[in-house]
Amino acid sequence: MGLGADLSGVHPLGRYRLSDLRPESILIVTTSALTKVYSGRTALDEVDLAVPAGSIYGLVGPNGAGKTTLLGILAGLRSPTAGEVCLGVPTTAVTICPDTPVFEPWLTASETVAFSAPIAAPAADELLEEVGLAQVRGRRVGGFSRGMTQRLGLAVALAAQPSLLILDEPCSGLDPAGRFQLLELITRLRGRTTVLFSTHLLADVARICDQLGVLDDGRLAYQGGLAEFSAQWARPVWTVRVRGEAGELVRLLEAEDWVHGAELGPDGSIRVTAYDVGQAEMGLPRVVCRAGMGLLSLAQESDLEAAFLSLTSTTARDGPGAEAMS
Amino acid sequence: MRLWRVEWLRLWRTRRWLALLAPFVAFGFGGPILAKYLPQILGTSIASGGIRITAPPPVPADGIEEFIHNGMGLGVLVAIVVAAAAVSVDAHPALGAFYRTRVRHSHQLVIPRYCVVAVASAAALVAGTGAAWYETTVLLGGLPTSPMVVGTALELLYLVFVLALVSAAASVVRTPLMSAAVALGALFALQLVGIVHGAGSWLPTSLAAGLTTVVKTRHYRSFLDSAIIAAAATGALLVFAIARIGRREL
Repeated sequence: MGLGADLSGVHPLGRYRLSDLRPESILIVTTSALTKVYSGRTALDEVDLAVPAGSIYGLVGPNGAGKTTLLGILAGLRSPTAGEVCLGVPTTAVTICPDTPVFEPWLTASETVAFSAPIAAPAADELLEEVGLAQVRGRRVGGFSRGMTQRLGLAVALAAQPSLLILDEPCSGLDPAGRFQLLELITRLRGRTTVLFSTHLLADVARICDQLGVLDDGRLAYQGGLAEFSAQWARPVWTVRVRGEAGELVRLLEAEDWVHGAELGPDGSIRVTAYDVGQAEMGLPRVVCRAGMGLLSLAQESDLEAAFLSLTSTTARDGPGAEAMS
Repeated sequence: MRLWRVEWLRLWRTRRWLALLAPFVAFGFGGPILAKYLPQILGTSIASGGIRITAPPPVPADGIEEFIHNGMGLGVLVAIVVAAAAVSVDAHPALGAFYRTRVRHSHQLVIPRYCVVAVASAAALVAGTGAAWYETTVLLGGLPTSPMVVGTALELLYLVFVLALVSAAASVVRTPLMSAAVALGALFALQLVGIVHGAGSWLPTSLAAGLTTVVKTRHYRSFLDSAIIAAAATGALLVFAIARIGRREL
């Protein structure tokens, strides 16, 4: 982390190697009542984060929820207005990779990695190979695509051999293959490096994370395991598309006692939240049939997505960021 | 991180060293030539009223004066732009984050950037002065060694002061363009203060004419106050820049 230690008011708990820590029993990062206010607007509101050592912690939330602000404070790039950050590792063992990494365009990939940490050239080349950039290690970074720069950012972050690796939207700008490779790489870090990453992609969280934090409008709405999150918050949700007057169908659905809510989306689809899965599976086609409309599609949303939308329902309805969640 | 090497590579690979060297060396060779042939140039030009303009025969000090008058202004301007591009640590937040998370203290960010540009600019100024000295000796006659050395030292002091001013400006604003503009504005304000209050003799900006004055008058002592103030201000500006950049949020 270096320079940022003074800025963020970080209080290192001591000097540990990750191997000395017992995962799940030691928290590598904790924050207490962390608050950040930007000219009257509260970006973070008394956030109590707890990241277990060795875990892969996914931080999700709509746009503007405060994810980047929180990660910036943990990395020492921003200072909190109030509250405390406690690290279980030296501040020098923390590195961050921003959502769109930028490097000096006149350095080669190999030089960029080598300059970022005191490592030997072969080790830098190994890291580049690990992120799939071995072929272009001698090329200047200025000509890299966004995906290549993203992967270089990860190599640069890993070069410092961090105990805590903070990744802000690491998969943004990557094609599906690149995204898959990057998630595989992050998965391989489990146990030896604690990874804290923010994302919009709930599928990525489901694939690699063992801990989850949901930020909603600056507040930590949920923190804990993935399974517990789904069990606690998932409410069955379906997306229905019909041929005909969708508004009329919304009115019919709202009259059903098993329907928690029905909303007409801007694309004409209807999002139906139910109290009971069985009743909804039977009742949805019946109501469509009764309305005399053609059923074009009927899809149940993933548990995690449904839980997320349920938890952040107010933001999901009112905030534009909710539409970005997928 | 080997930040010193990064800064040398920045200077080398972006060809900024050429931009620094070119104006000083060009005017180093061109200034004395202009001084030598200025009377002939003026003598052949006849104003619309039929008045012939004549100039006195050139002396060796004129060669240096032409170099300082034309080359120093442009050279310092280029140095300001190059320095602003280097010391604007947070011009791009993502790049700023990369550097900031790899140093323990902000002086590790500021000092290499400042020093490398300052050394390169100083080398360019010395090269230009050397060129002007050689050309003057060949065309107009010899120059006294001691005033030339002292005068060059005063010019170097002025240059490092200006670059420290750019570093301080970069800690107040973020972009290279704004940093250069703020530094130029501050220099302009200093010149105005010198004129309005008659404080020119102790202001660092008076050192800009140091070489010419010392070569012509051989009086060093008149620059003592401004040299001391420039040295102190350079240190103070760098401390200010380091402190401000260390406290700045991305």
